[in-house]
Amino acid sequence: MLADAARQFAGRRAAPARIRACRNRSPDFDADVWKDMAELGWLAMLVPEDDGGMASSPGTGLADMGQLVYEWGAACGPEPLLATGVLAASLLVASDGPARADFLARTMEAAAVPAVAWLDDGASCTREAEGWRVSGQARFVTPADATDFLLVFAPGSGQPALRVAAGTPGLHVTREPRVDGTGAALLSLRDVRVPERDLLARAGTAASASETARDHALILAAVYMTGTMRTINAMTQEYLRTRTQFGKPIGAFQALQHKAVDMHIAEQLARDVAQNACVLVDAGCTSDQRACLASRAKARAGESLDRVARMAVQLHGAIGYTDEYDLSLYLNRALVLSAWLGNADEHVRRYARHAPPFEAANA
Amino acid sequence: MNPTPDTSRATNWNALSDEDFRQRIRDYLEAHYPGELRYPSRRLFWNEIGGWYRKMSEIGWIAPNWPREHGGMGLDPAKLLIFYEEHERWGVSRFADMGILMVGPLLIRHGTPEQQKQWLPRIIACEHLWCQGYSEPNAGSDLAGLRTEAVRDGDGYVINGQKIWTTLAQDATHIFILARTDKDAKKQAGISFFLADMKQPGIRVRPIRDVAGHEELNEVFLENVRVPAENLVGVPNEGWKIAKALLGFERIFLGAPKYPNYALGVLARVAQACGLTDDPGFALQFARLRMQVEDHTACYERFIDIVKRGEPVPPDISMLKIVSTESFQAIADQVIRAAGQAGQLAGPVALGGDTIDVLGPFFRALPSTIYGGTNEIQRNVLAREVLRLPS
Repeated sequence: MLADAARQFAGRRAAPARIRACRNRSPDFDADVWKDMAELGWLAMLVPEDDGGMASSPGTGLADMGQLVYEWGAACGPEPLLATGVLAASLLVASDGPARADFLARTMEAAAVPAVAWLDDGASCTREAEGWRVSGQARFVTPADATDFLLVFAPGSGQPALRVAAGTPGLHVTREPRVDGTGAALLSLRDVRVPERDLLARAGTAASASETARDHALILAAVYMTGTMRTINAMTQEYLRTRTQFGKPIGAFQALQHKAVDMHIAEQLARDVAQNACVLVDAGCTSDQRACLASRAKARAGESLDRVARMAVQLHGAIGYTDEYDLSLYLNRALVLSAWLGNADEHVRRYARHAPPFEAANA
Repeated sequence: MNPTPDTSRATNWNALSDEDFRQRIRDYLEAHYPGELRYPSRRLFWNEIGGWYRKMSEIGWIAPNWPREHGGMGLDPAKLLIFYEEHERWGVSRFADMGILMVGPLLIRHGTPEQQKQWLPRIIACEHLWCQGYSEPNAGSDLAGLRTEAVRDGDGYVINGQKIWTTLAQDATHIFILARTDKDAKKQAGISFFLADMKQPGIRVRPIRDVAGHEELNEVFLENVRVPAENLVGVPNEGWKIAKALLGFERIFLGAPKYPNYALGVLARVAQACGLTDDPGFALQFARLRMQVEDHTACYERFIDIVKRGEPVPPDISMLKIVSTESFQAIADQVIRAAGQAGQLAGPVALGGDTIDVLGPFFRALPSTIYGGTNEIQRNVLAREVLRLPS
């Protein structure tokens, strides 16, 4: 039911024409669509019932949220469901500071659209009488048009997580265009004052809260990417059935059939891994297990989507290389998603850091 | 460990909880399965594994997949999976049990009461050992193009032709044969299903030495082989249909993560022996393959859940065999690369204080993309039945 409703909404509100209209502009998504998503409860899926959301407890709700994200990924709508609805929302849920409750409520009703900003290693955060003073840089922050930035410092720095509104003195935002037509913000902070009331997560909690949020975002990004693969594969299979050369549909040629099958297998395998991760995280696991599940899901989805998107262009031939044909939207979104929060290679390394020592089953 | 577990034939296995059932199977295997036969590096012949199967027969466990009225355990799909999982976990060698896997289920579904009475008890008693006469020199992937012929002659049929790639035919007492009974009918339409005694004039078995030096595969020559008419199973000329319908959910085992896991274990040992464990390049490769096996397991579990719910296995199951076998081959290749120069040595070899058959996983993985329907045929099936691409 959830999936059906999501599919209908995505079909209505993420048509290719609107995706095109949002490209290379600021804001890079439509506020009214975002409001509709909030009203439907899409931004409350990962928020615990105690905070007015739909999740049975903090750190759960991934499987349900996954159904929405999957459909949104299939449609490739530009609204920041992953960056805000998952990454920022999960960070807020896992936080414990005075800014949490009110800001979480405002995020759920789309009154605020926060973006998580991981500050570079050189950043400084100095305790002052009435709050903190922050200097530093953060890159690849999305959505670029966020109303607020949730500052997170390097793990091990012992710093809290803080909220800073866009337009705060000392905060400078530069927009870097992404290949799918959305933007990524490059933040530069110089002696930005953050008052006590904007403390999101205390120093003792901030690191684990941001790692929880990262893992949730990785897993749901993987789910989103399997949705994108579904669309690319459906388009490609339809093309193979209808495009005629040498007197028959090109989908009758075995060389092309086997490539299409490999694309299908890549999609299904990535979906199995991502769904499995949702279920296991919802059921509860250690932070190392969660990191392994998340990195496996993102690595698998990244590698699969990379292959599926490239092969789709090949099977379409020259038309697949045009901007006019909608495959271009999904190819460019695929490039963005593969790199976002780390590509497949990076997540193989992260998995290796978190995996338990290998024990052979039977060698 | 329980040395005398309850193996009574009266036990209603399906009424036990999954955990209880699993524990009973596990206890029995751990207590009774001969240690020297765990995880053999090749298929075992009847003179090696026969004793174990006779024991299985004695305690009523020889046919877990058959209904109880025919001497089986009558396990439901979920329990049957557990039964096989525990066998794999303990490294129990499965005999090429074609009588149990194929002939029994076939006769139970399509056989006459007389056929059932004649053949089933002897399979249960390990008196008859069956091999499968399907492939022919010119009918492999295109099995329906088979040319072995059965001609009606009085109260029986006379069969002429040749079968090939017959696993462990040298041990079999009987063979089931797909043979053409109507040369004029369309390819699939004129085929019938026969049961034949191997110990009769006209049947000759010739082992085929494989690239690993083993002789598990055979050619079977059929020259004027007489079979009584009552050895035809089902309706004449409709053997293809019943042979196809036999592809039950056991197909899922072709896609189990057992072999990739085994190869990964060998890879870890080779890495240890060759001092590669701390090499960053190798560590990355190993992590990739380990993730691959875990991902494959997640996919396998999706299909297992379908089977447990008692639903029919969807045609998408073909992807599982592709993922499993290609992963197995990739890991087996990595074992050889990790072993360096030892990759040229045959059989178990000394390696850094360990003894490892470096080429073992390779030789087991190599034919896995060929048997059970080549991976190319599996891709054809997926293209046709799942992706609905034109032909």
